[in-house]
Amino acid sequence: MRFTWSGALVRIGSLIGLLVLWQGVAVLAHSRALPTPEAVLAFLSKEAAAGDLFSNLAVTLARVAVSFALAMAVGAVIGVAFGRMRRLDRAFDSWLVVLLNTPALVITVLCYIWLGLTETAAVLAVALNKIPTVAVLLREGARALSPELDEMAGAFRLSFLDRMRHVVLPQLEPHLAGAARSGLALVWKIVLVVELLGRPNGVGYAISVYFQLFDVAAVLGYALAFMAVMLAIEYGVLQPFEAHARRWRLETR
Amino acid sequence: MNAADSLLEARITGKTYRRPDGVAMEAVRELSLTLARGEFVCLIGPSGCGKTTTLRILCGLDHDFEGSLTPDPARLAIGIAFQEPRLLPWRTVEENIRIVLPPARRRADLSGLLATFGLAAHRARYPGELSLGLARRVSLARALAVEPDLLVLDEPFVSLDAQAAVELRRCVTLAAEGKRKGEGAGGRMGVLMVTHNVREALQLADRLVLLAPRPTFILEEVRLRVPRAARSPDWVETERAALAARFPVLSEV
Repeated sequence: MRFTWSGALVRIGSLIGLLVLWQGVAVLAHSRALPTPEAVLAFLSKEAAAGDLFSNLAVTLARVAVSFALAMAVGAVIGVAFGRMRRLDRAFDSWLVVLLNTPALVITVLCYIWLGLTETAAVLAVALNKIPTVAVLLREGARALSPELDEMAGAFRLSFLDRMRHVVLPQLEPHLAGAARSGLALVWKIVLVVELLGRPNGVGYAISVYFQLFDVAAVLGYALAFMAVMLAIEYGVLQPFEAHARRWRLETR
Repeated sequence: MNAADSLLEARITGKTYRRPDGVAMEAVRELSLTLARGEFVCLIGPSGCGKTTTLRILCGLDHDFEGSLTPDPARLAIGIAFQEPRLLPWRTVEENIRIVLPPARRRADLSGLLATFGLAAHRARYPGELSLGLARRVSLARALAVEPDLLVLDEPFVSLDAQAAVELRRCVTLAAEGKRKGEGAGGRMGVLMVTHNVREALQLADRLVLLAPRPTFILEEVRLRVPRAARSPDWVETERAALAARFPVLSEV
């Protein structure tokens, strides 16, 4: 999707409208359960000044980054292997289905029970939740790889690395981009649950603490702060990457 | 032909493949062919007779056949221009050519090659922006960029409009003539072209290899001794009529 100023103005206008609506409802409700945007902002500036906001955001972001990278790498390898090797797919497809249908909470609890309340267990729990969806998306991509281009690569005796870089990965790129975008959205939500259940820091932990104190402004503040970070990654990293990878399609319009 | 001139000797005693519905199809039966350096050979036969299957075997892309190839095609530098250009749509014209070069020559100056094929102005464009005629020229330039011992052309002129076909025929002639003047026997490139168009074969080839309908074998080999430049449209038409009279199967192609 190309950037246009009119499009950006519509989005900004829509967000301002949401803030106005929130302010109006909060003022009318006049309840601790729904603080005004102003109160949430005040909490955020206090938490930022104390340093807790940034340290919690950094810890959670690091967990998101590691588990996301792990899930993408492992899921992509499994997906491509399943997509290219029918026997492997037949033998282990049911494992993928089981993992796909296991609730995130169950995987998280089991990881904590088996590996203890450790960083490894937390990252592994998040990655295990995401790996099957990445694998399924990449399996479809691998199945759709062009046999004609594969034969061309063989005819010109391209090295394995050249084949991957110039022939295979560009074909998988739309599937990788889809897995990355849906993956990031899923991973950061699961990271918060995993932190809530068994970590002593991070945004999820902070939200659980403020939940027990019934401090809704703090809960909303942390949620909004982290959402802003993830949106910045989506618009600042993922979308430009996708646009770069698809530049040849734009050129052909 | 002396041994130094021999480029590839093929003796295919049988080739059977299974269709997707499981039915076995015998594609080739007893086909012996010798290619010489500096020679332009056209395989001609009716649609579906096994021309492309034979070509794939001769190029070393299909190892599942009975018979032998001397030397192993893997020991020859082979440049292939497939029927569909099989360019990487996510790489520019220049990148498509550069990618197939051995690592030591990846940064070679391609200006001469691109200029020869009228591609200098298109070097930064993506294949999706090119006409079929231009894409075929890129495919031909790519095949020649690897400095092949054997240039293989699979129906290079099919589906082209008259003007594009004339332009591409000029490029093929240029390539064949240019390389035939290479110094020493090792520098001379053989050309093997598959076509079902007798006229274009008569215009370009030194030798025609007429193939029977499936399971294919060689009906006849016809050496054309008239210099390429002296082959007028009248000569081509007379030869075609004479061949069609001798081999009624050719009137179907």
